[in-house]
Amino acid sequence: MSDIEPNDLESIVNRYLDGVVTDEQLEAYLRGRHESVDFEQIRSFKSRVEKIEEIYRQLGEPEVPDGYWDSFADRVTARLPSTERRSLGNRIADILLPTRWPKAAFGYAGAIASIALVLVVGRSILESGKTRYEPTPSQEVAPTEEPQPTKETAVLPSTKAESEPSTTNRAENEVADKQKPEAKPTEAVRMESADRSKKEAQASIGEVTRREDKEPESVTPKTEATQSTAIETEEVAVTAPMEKREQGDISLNFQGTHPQTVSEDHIVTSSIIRDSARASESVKDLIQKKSPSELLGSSLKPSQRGTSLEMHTTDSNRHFWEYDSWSLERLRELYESRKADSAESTYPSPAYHDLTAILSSIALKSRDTADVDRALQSMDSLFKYNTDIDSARWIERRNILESIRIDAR
Amino acid sequence: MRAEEAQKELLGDEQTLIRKAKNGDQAAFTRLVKMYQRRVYTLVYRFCRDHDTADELAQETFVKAYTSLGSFREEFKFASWILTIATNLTLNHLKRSKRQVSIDSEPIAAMLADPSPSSDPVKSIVDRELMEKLESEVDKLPLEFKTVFILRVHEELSYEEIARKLGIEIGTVMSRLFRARARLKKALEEYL
Repeated sequence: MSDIEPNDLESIVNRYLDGVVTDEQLEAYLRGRHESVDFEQIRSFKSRVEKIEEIYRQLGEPEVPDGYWDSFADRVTARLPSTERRSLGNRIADILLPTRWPKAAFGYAGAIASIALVLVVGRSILESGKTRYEPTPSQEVAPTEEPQPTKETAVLPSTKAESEPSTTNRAENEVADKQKPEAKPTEAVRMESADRSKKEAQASIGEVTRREDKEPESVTPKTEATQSTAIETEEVAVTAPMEKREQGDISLNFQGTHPQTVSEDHIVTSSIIRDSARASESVKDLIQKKSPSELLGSSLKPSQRGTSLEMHTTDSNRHFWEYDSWSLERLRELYESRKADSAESTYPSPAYHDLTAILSSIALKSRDTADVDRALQSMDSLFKYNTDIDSARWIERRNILESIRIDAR
Repeated sequence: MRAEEAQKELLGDEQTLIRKAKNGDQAAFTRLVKMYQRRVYTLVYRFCRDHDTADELAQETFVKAYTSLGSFREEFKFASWILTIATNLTLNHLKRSKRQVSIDSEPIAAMLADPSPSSDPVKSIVDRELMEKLESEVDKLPLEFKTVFILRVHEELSYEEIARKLGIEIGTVMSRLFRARARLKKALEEYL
C-alpha cells in the first residue's frame, strides 16, 4: 500500500499543473511511493488539462444580441434607486457611518466627540512628569495685554523650556523642575486634576473655546514658541504655550475612544516630541488611568504621521488568517470562549482584533446573515479605531463579507 | 512606461468615478457600468450559460453595487468587489434553481488514467465543437467544482483568493479544482 493519501496527490498534481512542482520533483516524489499512479500518467494528465484550460480561456466573450452593450448601462441605470431616495443625508451617512455599526457605537462616537479634550502640555511637563496643565476659570478669563507669560504659563513647571525650545534638554528640565518648590508629585497632581477634569471637563472646554472666539490673542502670549505651535487646534491657542515646532518634531495627540473611558477621568492631550522613541516612552505619561492605553500598554505608539497614537499589530496579524482553516464548529466554540474576555477589552486591543478575525472566519464559512452582520460590525469598529492594521487584507475580507450581505438582502 | 501611465490614469479616473457615484452621481456610475459590464456579464455567463439569466444577474450585480457603494472602501479594487458580488449573486441563483452538488468519490488513479490514445490535438483545439463541448462539460460540473474551476481558470485567482472568496480551506479549493479538471479531462478525452 502506498503511504500517500489521495489528497496529498491531488495537492501535488495541482501544484504540478500550476508549474510550482517540476517534472523532476514530481518524478522524485512519486518514485516508489504510489502504486496506482505513475509519472507518465500525471504528465499526460497535465498536458490534457493544460489544453482544456487554454481552450477555456480562449472562449472569449459570449455572443450577445446586436446593440446589447450599447443599451446595457442604460438598462442598469433605469433600475437604480432614484436620486431622491439617496438624499444628501443618506449619502453622507453612507460615507461616514457604515450602517452596520452597533447603535452603541454612535453613542460612543457622540460621547467621544462631545468630550474630546485637547490640553496642550509642553514638553517639559511630559519630561518632568510634575503636572499637567489644568485651566481654571480664573486663569482663562484673565486677559493679558502684554506679550508675556500668562497664568497658564505660570503653572507650568518650566517656562525655560518655552523660551528655549530647541536647545533645552531633558536633564536641564528635570533639574529645573526639582528646584521649584511648588511642583507637586506627579500622581498626586494627576489625581487631583483628574477629579477636577471629571467634573469640569465639558464646561472647561466649552468655556475655553468660547473665550478664544472672543479674545484669542489676549490669553496667549505672543512668544515665538506659542505662535508656532498654535496650529494644532483652537484649544491650543488658549490653553498653554508650547515649544517651538522644529523640523523633525512630531506632535502627539491622543484621543481616547473606548466608551469605558469617556465617562471616566479622560484626558486628551498633546505635545511635541523630538523623536518617536521618546514619544513612545511618553505615551504612558500622556494618559491617565483607565484610559485605552492602560489596556493597550506598550503597543500604543505614535502613528507614522505623528499625529495620533495607534496600536501596532504587525506581529499579530498573520495568525488571524489561520482561523480560515478551522472548522466552523471549532470557530464557534472559540468565539464563545473569547467573547467574555474581549468584553472588557478596548476596540483596538489585540483581543478585539482577534475576536474580529474569528467572527470574520465564521461568517465566511457559514454565510449566515447574522454571522456576516456581526463580523461586519466588528470589522467596522476595528477599522474605525485602529488604522494601523493589515488593512489591505482586512478590507478585502470586509468587502467579501459585504458582498455576501448584499446578496442576502 | 506609457502603459503604466495610462493604467495610473485609468485607475485615477476610476477612483474619481467611484467617489462621484458614492455621492449619488448616476452618470459617474453609468461610466463604471460601461467599464465593467463585459467582465461582469462574461463571468456570470460562464456560470449559467444562458443569456437572459446572465443579463438579469449582471444588471442585478450593478444595481446592488450602486446601492451598496457607501460601504465600498476605496483602498480595495473595485473590479474584485463587483466581481465578488456577481459571483455570489450567481452562485445563489444557481443554488436555488439547480441541482445538489454530488461528492466525487472516484479513485484518483481512475481520474488520471489515460484510457484512449490521443487523437490529433491541434485539430481539436481549433475545433469549434470542442469549445462548445467544453462549455457544456464545465456547465455539467457540480456547482462547487465549477465555481472553483471558473474562478481559477477564467478569473485567474490564486488558491488563497478563491478560498477567501468562498470561505473554504485552500485544501478544499485544490481538491475541488483537481476533481473538476479530472472530470473535464475524462469528458473531453475523445477531443484531446
